[in-house]
Amino acid sequence: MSILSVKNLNFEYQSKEGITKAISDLSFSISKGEFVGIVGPSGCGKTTLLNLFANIISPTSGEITLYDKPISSEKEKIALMPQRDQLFEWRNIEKNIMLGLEINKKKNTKENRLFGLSLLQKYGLEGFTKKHPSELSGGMRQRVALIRTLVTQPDILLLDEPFSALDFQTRLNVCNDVYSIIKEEKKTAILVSHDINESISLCDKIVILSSRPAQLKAIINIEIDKKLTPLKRRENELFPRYFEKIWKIIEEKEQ
Amino acid sequence: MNTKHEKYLKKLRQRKILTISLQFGILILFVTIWELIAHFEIVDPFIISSPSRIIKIITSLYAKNNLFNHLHATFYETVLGFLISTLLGTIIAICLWWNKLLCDVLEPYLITLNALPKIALGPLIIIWVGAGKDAIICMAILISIIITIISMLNGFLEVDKEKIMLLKSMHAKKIQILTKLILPSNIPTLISVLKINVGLAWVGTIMGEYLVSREGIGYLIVYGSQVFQLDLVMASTVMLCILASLMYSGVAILENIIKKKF
Repeated sequence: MSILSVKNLNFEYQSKEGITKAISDLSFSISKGEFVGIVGPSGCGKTTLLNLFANIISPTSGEITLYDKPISSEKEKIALMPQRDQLFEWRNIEKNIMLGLEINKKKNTKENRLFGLSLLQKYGLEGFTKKHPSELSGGMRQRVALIRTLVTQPDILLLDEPFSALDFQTRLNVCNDVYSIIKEEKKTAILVSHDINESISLCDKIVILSSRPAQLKAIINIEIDKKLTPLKRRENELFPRYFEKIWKIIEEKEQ
Repeated sequence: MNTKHEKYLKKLRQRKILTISLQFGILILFVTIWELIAHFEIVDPFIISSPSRIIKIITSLYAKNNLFNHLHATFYETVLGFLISTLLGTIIAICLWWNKLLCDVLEPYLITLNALPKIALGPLIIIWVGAGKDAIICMAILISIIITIISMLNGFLEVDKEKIMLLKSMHAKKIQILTKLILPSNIPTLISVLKINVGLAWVGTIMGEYLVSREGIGYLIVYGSQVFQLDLVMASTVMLCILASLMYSGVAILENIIKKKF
């Protein structure tokens, strides 16, 4: 059932000061339709891991496979939703969501374009197709950013602290929106975040990394009712217990 | 509520009318005082000229069919210098963005050229390209191209790294990053460069005309001062003011059109 697996992943990079090991012997796997959170102390190599998933850099050793094939050959099946929405101000909403299609000409089919427009309609943005990003609220912009990643029909979504630029109130609402859209479209998602609360409210499973070099510390399954929205999950009695558990694991001194 | 807002709008309108009438007032006052000082010879009009003498000299230039030749020569050189330096500077900036090594290698040269007062190269240019229109256009290009390259390149390098990462995650080629992100996101930089270059192109052209030329506004100014005909110098300066601000408003109109599109 696992669609994505990370096997004995190592990554090191060079700088003037020498070689730095960012990720050390990391292994875990993700099942289809799962929402997986990756948390860890800041600077632990979460962004490096994300860049590896997105195929922007290659591992020093070990591999990441998607459907048992190395992801370097499957890169079109992975899409990134970056920190802040990163919509292009000079493009209207329709042109913003078509960006991925313009870049990958093979996917620039009429079918995909119509799919993009149908997503805008489905998620309450049909009146805004010709508007520019500056005319939309923070929450709407975030939805557009998510739709932009969905248009190319990827199997896996990478979310890089996607809500970090929003105020708390908006954040909770957008979190609900994004969660329901991802579940509705039946996508597998990987959320990289330093916000433990947010990770618990969204994810089925949380991978906890150690400080640099990132090693696997624990994998926690979140067994709060999957049907609840992220906001409702925050009210669940199990929520604080998970928080405490994860917090302790992150804080725990490494041997 | 409504009347309050109307009051506010009225206040805004009145403020605008006040600003414009003061602007015209200053101009009229200045011209009148100038004319009076010259007329009653409080200061010798031979030295300071006067508005009426300026009008006279412009009409006499016009009557001799010379006026438009001079205006045309200067305007042509300026516009050509302006367009070439902006275009060429942007292309060079794109090359430097594209090739990091080239950029690092050329950096000290760019800094030196930027610091160099371009007018010092005037005599060299005259020897190399000849004492004609080409030398003047060269001067206009030279004076603005370095700052164009540096401003555009800085704009290119300041593009949000996360936007680049987004495109890379879509597996965009370098040329796609350039055309879909780097260039469109730098339209505002281009507009500010255009505005700087309008001014600089005039500096370059007039400097060039001081050095060579047999026609043009710069030529009229130099000629007028050599034969001590200060009416001509003043008249040329006034025409220069008008032409330069016309060109600047052209760029401002272009800016508004582009801003609406983006």
